[in-house]
Amino acid sequence: MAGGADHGRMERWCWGAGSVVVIVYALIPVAWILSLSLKRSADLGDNRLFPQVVSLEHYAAVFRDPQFSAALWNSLGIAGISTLVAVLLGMFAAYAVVRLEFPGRRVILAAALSIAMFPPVSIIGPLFNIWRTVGLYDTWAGLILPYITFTLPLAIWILSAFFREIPWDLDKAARVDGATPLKAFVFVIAPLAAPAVFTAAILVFMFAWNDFLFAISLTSTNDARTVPAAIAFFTGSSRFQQPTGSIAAASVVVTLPIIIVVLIFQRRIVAGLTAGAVKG
Amino acid sequence: MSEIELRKVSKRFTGATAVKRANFTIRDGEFFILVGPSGCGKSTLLNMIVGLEDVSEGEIRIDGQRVNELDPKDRNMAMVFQSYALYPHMSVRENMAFPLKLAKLSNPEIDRRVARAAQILELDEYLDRRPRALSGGQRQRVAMGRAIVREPRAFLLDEPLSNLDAKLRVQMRTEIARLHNRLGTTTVYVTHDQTEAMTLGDRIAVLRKGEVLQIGTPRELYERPRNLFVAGFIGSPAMNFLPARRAEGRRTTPNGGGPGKVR
Ligand SMILES: Nc1ncnc2c1ncn2[C@@H]1O[C@H](COP(=O)(O)OP(=O)(O)O)[C@@H](O)[C@H]1O
Ligand SMILES: [Mg+2]
Repeated sequence: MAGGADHGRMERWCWGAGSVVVIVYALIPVAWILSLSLKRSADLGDNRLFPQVVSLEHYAAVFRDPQFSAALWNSLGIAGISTLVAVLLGMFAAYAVVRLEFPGRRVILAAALSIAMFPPVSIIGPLFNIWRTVGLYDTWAGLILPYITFTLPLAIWILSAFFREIPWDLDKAARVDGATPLKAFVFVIAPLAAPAVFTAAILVFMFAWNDFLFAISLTSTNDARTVPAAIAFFTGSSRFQQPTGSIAAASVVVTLPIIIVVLIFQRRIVAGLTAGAVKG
Repeated sequence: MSEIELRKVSKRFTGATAVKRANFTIRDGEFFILVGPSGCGKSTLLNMIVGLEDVSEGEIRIDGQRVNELDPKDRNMAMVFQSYALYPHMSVRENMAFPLKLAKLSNPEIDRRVARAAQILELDEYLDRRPRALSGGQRQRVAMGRAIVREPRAFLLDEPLSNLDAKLRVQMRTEIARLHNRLGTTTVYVTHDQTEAMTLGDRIAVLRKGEVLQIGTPRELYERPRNLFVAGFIGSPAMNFLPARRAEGRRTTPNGGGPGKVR
C-alpha cells in the first residue's frame, strides 16, 4: 500500500516537473519580449531578464503612433470578419457533407484538405498582380478573401467531424416536431455544435490575426495593413536607433487579444454536451 | 384523429427493397402495431408515414388526402424515437415546448399544454432538468410528453420501450395503453417484441423482409395464423410444429397423434 502511494507521488512529481519544463520553454521568449517592452530605451542592451526600472514609454510611443492604431483596427476587423464568414460557411458546408447524400461528397472533403495543404507563398505573386488589377490590393476584402480560403477547409474538417457525432435522430425529431431543415439546424444542431464552432473560430481567428505573409504582400498603407505587417514598418526615433522597444511593446499588445479570445472560448469548449441525447 | 391509408406502398433503397407493396388502412383512433424481426422494414414504413423517407411507389393518404409530397412538418404527426432523441441542450420543459413554439402558439397556451402533459406523465418535478439528469424511464416519458403536447393527428412510436429494463418496460407498456385510452389518438407502434404487440394492439401487422404477411387482431393472429412464420412468431411459449399429412379430410401426424379436423 505504502509503495503504491509512493509510486503515485513519484508519478505526480514527474508530471509536474515535465509540465514546468514545457511551460518555461514556451514562455521564455514571451517573458523576454515582455521584459524588453518594459525597459527604458537606455537599458535595452543590459542583458537582464528583469528590467531595472519598469517604464511604459514604449507602450506610450506605440499608441501615439497613428500607424499602429490603424493597424490594430485593421487587424481586429479583418480577423473578425474572416472568422465570422469562415465559420458560418464552414458550418453549412460541414452539415451538408455529413447529412446529405450527394455525388462527390467525399471528394469535397479531400479537395478542401488539399487547399489547406497548399503553400500560400506559391500564390502570393499572382495574387498580388490580380488584386492590383481588380482593385482589391490594399483593401480589407483583399486580405479577408485569402484568409477565408485558407481557413475554410480546416473549419469544415473540424465541424464535420463534430457533426458526425450528433445523433441523426435529433434532426429527424426536429423535422417531425415541425421545423424546416434550416430551423432544425439553427435550433438543434448548431447549439450542440457550439464547442466545435468555438474551436474552429479560435483557429481561424489566430490564422488571420497572426498572418504576416499575405499582410505584408497585399497591403501598402494604413488602409488595410494589419499589425504584424505594421510592426515591420516601425522606425526608431532617429535613424540610428533600433525600434526594439516599440516592437516588443506592440507584440505584447497584439498577443493580448489572442489570449483573451482563447480564455473566453475555452470555457465554452465543454465536451459531452451531447450526453443525454441518446439513451446514455 | 385520422385514418392512415397505405396503397401499395413500396420503398427501395439502392439495391434492396425494404418495403414491398404494403396495402392496408389504419383506422381512426386505432392502436396499430407493426411487428416483425429486426430489419424487416418496420422503421422504414413508419418513416414513410411520417414523411422522413420518400415513398418509392404507391400512395399514402391521411384522411383521404394524399401526403406523399408533404414535408414532415406539415403532417402534424408526433413521433417517439427508440433513442428518444431528446434535445440535450434544452430542459424538459423546453423539449416539450419546442414543437409548440415552432407551431407559434401563444406563451400561455404553451405553458398550459406543457403543464398538462407533465401532469399526465408525472414529470412536474423534472421540468427544469436537462435530459442527461434523468433516468431512462423519465427520458422515455419526456419523449412521450413532447409527442402529446402537440395534440397531433397520429402518434408514431418506433420501438419506444426497447431501451428500458424489463420491469420498467412492462410498466411503461401499461402507461402507453392508458394514454391511448385517454387520448384516443390514432397510434402506430413499431416493435419486434410479440408480447408488446399482443398486449397493446387493437390490430397487428406482421412483417417479414418488407412484406406484410398478415393483419388482424391479436386473437385472430393467435388462433388463425395464415402461415408458419406468423404462427411461430406469435405466442409465448412458442407454438409447437408437427409435420402432418392430410388424408381423407383428416390429418394424421407420423407419430399417430390425435386426428383432428382440417381447417
Ligand atoms: N438508408 C438506407 N439505405 C439503405 N438501406 C436501408 C436504409 N435504411 C434501411 N435500410 C434497409 O432496409 C431494411 C429495413 O430496415 P428498417 O426499416 O430499419 O428495419 P426494422 O426497423 O424493421 O429493423 C434493412 O434491410 C435495412 O438494411
Ligand atoms: Mg427499426
